[in-house]
Amino acid sequence: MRLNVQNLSFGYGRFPVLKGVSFNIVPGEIVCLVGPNGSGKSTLIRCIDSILQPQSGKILVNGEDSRRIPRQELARQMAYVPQGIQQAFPITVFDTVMMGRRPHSSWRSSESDVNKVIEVIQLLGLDDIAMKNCNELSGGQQQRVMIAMALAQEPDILLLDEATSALDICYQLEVMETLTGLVKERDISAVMAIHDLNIASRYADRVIMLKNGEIIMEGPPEESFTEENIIKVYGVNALVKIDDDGKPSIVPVRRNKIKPDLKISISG
Amino acid sequence: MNQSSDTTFKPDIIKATALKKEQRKANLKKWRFIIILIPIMILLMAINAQTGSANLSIGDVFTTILHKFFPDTFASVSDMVNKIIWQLRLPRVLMAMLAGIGLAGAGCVMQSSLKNPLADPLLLGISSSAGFGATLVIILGVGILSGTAGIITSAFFFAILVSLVIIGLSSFKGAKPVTMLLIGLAMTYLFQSLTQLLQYQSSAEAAKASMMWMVGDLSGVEWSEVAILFPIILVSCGLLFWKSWDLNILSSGDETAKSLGINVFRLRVFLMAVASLVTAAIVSFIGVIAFVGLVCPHICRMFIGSDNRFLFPASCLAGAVLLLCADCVARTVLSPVILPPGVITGLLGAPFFIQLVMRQRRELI
Repeated sequence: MRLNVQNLSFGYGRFPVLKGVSFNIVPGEIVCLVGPNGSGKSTLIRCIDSILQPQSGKILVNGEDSRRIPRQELARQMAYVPQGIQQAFPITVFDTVMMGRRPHSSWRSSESDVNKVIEVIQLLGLDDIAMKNCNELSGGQQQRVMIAMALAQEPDILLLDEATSALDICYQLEVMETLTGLVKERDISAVMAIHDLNIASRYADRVIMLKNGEIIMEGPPEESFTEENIIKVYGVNALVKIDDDGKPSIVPVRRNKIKPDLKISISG
Repeated sequence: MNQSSDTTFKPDIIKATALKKEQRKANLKKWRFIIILIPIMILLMAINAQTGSANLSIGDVFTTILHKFFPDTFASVSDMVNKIIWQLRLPRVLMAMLAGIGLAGAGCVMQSSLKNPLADPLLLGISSSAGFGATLVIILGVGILSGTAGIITSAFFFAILVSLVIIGLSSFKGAKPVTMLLIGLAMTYLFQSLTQLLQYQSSAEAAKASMMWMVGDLSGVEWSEVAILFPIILVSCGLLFWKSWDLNILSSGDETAKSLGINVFRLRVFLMAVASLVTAAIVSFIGVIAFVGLVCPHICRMFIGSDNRFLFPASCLAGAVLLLCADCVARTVLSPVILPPGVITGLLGAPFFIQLVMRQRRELI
């Protein structure tokens, strides 16, 4: 599944959040969106999934304008993992993951849906908590439930909005490995907004650095994560070391006193 | 890369089978709760048909009902019993059942689709606008717009009109739950004030009649009313049950619902419109029965959880059971004086509900 984002702009009211963002995604690719708070990562992901309607620009799914694709059809092609669960009334993990089958079934779930759900529950190691209510779980467990729901959707494109932020380091690696495994094995693609630059560096095929609704840098992790780019995007001095496997590892050191975009020098 | 090679996933068949079994067991438990409610409901209907000033046995009740359908096998008890059961008791019992089903079902749908545990079927201004419609006819009614039929028609017309206005207005704001709740609340106050204005200006008798109308009452129910309400409840509840899985998704957040292919706007408007129609019809015929719609979904949630595929039918039946119980109490506690069941639901339901809430260990919401 090819995804082309063309000159996308979006704003809340008169406040622009995305200013003409364009990029492409090909199958088998993991793309990480990084950037400071409020840079437009979540908004971009929601625009791609048609949860928000962009003010201008287009999203092409296999060359077809996403606005012309019916919602349910789009839901079979794309899955979205939000930042957290917002269930008004708690239901069990099993039934939550089952909702991911909705785009593929009619008004009731079938036996094959049940099997599919059990498969993803096992894939994310949720067996032991499958019959618990989601409000009884920890933040990290809830995130794994939401990822499981998205995987039950069997999408061609996975959109994750800081979906691993509450996971412990072990599960963070495990979930990322599961996702990379699935992306390569099924030849699907994943777009993830993420704050942990080291995770992005390790697993992303490509990194898109956003700031103030614009793409500052786009490329493989070893090209994107340079000390200059990190100052430019975050205003932070960092040590970037290239590991044995060729991936950069980033250690933030201190805030860069002179924020490049503000041009205000803080003097005594 | 070294990552993809060691992630080949091997499903654990034993665990999978165990999980499947556990899920089936959980569903079976929910079905059992629903199915148990059916004989309880039927028993209560029989008890309600039996109790009253004329001394009848439950056997008399069943024989008389069966006599109508199989006159050869079941002998009639007496003409008087026939008349009491068929003309007086059965319409009332069936109306209590239908109203309970409709109010509790509507309450369940409104709570989930507005994502608010305090939502109640009378929320979208229905009780106050129906009350206004009735008061208008009681106080100013002339010509065809007078008498019982006129009152019911006017109440229903205003209830539907106002709920459509609320749904329509909030649609401009994307039919967001909070918008709907706030506009509904404002409309409630608006029509309450209008009703009070009319009552203030009218004679004491007319003011009393309009206030009495608002109190949920099942006396004097006629077969024709049951015949109108029955198809409305049947079709609406069928539609709502059909959307019960989507309702789960809707209550999991608008964003999640959208990304699962649900047209959130259209679904919420549809559900609210159907639930309002049910409520408006019930309120127009028998007045305001408080508490049933708010409380029955919560009681069922305590037993079977919040999955609307089970919660909706369970709430409907629990509503019928609660209203039949209330009616039974209303007619026996101060016999021969018959109290309005709309008052009893609150008087009995509230302490019972508080006790359930206090004993609850699991967090509900």
